[in-house]
Amino acid sequence: MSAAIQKNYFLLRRLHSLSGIIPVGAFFLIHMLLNSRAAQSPDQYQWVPDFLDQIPYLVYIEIGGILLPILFHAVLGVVIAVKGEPNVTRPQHGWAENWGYTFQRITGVLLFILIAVHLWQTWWVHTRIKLDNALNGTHTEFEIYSLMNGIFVNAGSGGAVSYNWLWLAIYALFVLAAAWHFGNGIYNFACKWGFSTSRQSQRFALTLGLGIGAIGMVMGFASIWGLTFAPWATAVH
Amino acid sequence: MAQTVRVKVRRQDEPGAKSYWQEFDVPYTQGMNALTCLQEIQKNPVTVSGQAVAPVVWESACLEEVCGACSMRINGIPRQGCSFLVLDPQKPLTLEPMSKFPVVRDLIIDRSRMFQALLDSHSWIDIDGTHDLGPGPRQSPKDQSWMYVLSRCMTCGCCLDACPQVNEKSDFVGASVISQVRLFNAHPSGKMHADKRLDYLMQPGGIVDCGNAQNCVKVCPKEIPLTQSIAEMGKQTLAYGFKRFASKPDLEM
Ligand code: HEM
Ligand code: HEM
Ligand code: SF4
Ligand code: SF4
Repeated sequence: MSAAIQKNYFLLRRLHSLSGIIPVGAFFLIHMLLNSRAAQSPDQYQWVPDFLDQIPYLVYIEIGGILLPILFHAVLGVVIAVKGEPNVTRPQHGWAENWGYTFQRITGVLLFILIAVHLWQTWWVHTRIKLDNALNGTHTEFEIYSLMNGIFVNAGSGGAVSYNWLWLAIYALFVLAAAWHFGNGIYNFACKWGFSTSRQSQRFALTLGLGIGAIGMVMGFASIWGLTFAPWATAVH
Repeated sequence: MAQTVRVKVRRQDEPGAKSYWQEFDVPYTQGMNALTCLQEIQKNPVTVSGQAVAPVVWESACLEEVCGACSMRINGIPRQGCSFLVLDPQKPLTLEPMSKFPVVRDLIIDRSRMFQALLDSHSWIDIDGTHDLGPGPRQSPKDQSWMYVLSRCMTCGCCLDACPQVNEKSDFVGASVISQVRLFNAHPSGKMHADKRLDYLMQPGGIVDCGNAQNCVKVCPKEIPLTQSIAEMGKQTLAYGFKRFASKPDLEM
């Protein structure tokens, strides 16, 4: 361990903990909220990138405000995860909080992979279009609804459609893992920073956290429904 | 024939050697505890297959769950051998050394790292001077009562054994010393060295390495509210961290 890390270890770990809530956790909730507009209509969904693209310096805000903090949380998170030795499988060690500890690590590593794939599928596609437009002076619309719809629904011949169950399962798992990791993370955060010390207040933080995670989960599933199973999802084909 | 209890012991001949299992049948007596079983093995160190072996060694002192010397993993859970009663002779008893400490031999482990942590963290109160310092400040009975609970820690190591964050890949010191820092920092005389103890907790391997698995509090035989202590010290280290960053250098001579 280098001397700088050694000296600032406390700060580094507290920043990791904080980054899980702000900005990463906050982004997760907003992201799910905006994505859930797919459950209203493709136009509503298109409103999101159209609106966001009006923000000046958007790409820098995205990179500095979202992607780099996620990278920081993710890399340090993997280091933390591999340093632990989960022991829920030991005899009589299967307490609920111990499972929580273990799942926090499993979902973390899972999210690392899923977020990488997800960025490649979505953000990078959009950013490339924006870069091309800027370089060539062209104007191409970013069709966000058909991009996501294309992941979940296969257009067959003659208007027939079939669902891409593999990607649907992966995204369902993605939403579940993120929602649970964030929800349990709120509880961990409350314990770690000393907001919740007594047993009752730690219980309360867990309930609150899982409740907030569940809201994110519902919005995430609504997004998937809107992109796949809603009447307009198959009508576009 | 009298009833017997099957005892499975994980044995190890010397530090660093490979461990192996041996099984013994010992005569059952009502009210016997795990250490009584070991005494029976000592009297007649013959395994179930009739092989005469060296007696199993263990450590114990007080025999009333206040010294922590006989801590071992009994049926998978870290606890004290003296206070584990054998209630049902039908159920086999599994004895293993605790898993997070170097094994000296059989069930004897070396808990030096915990005592070192108490030293490094300044977990004591400085009362010795070259002259009589007089009586210390008074404590309210209310404070005395909750601090008494923390003071019951016997450095037995069960909380380290159960903790997933305490392992060979990490320097984490474990829950007990965090709770001791809380105790000594709350003491009216101990307060004078509070910063020193907080500095200790903020090093690598200190408080931020807790992953909130909360196993420690479940296995602590003295029912010390360890997770509460960890959260409380999380708060105190944070406040102190701000102070250290923002104003401390000016306050020093
Ligand atoms: C229902 C599931 C989801 C859908 C439909 C979805 C959709 C999208 C889309 C369309 C984009 C591209 C936005 C743009 O560039 O304009 C995007 C970006 C992104 N998504 Fe998701 N997403 C989902 C779940 C998640 C989850 C669970 C996470 C993890 C927290 C996540 C993290 C991100 C990140 C980090 C970006 C890049 C954001 C940026 O920097 O602008 N997504 N997502
Ligand atoms: C990208 C991969 C990710 C990895 C590898 C990861 C890993 C981890 C790990 C190992 C912890 C436990 C830290 C500890 O015990 O000290 C943790 C905590 C946390 N994570 Fe993540 N995580 C990831 C993504 C996310 C995302 C997308 C969110 C938000 C939706 C998030 C929110 C949190 C929160 C709120 C905590 C609690 C902070 C604390 O322990 O004090 N993480 N993460
Ligand atoms: S806190 Fe409890 S389990 Fe840990 S060493 Fe002290 S008495 Fe043992
Ligand atoms: S709460 Fe912290 S110290 Fe206690 S067992 Fe869990 S990780 Fe270890």
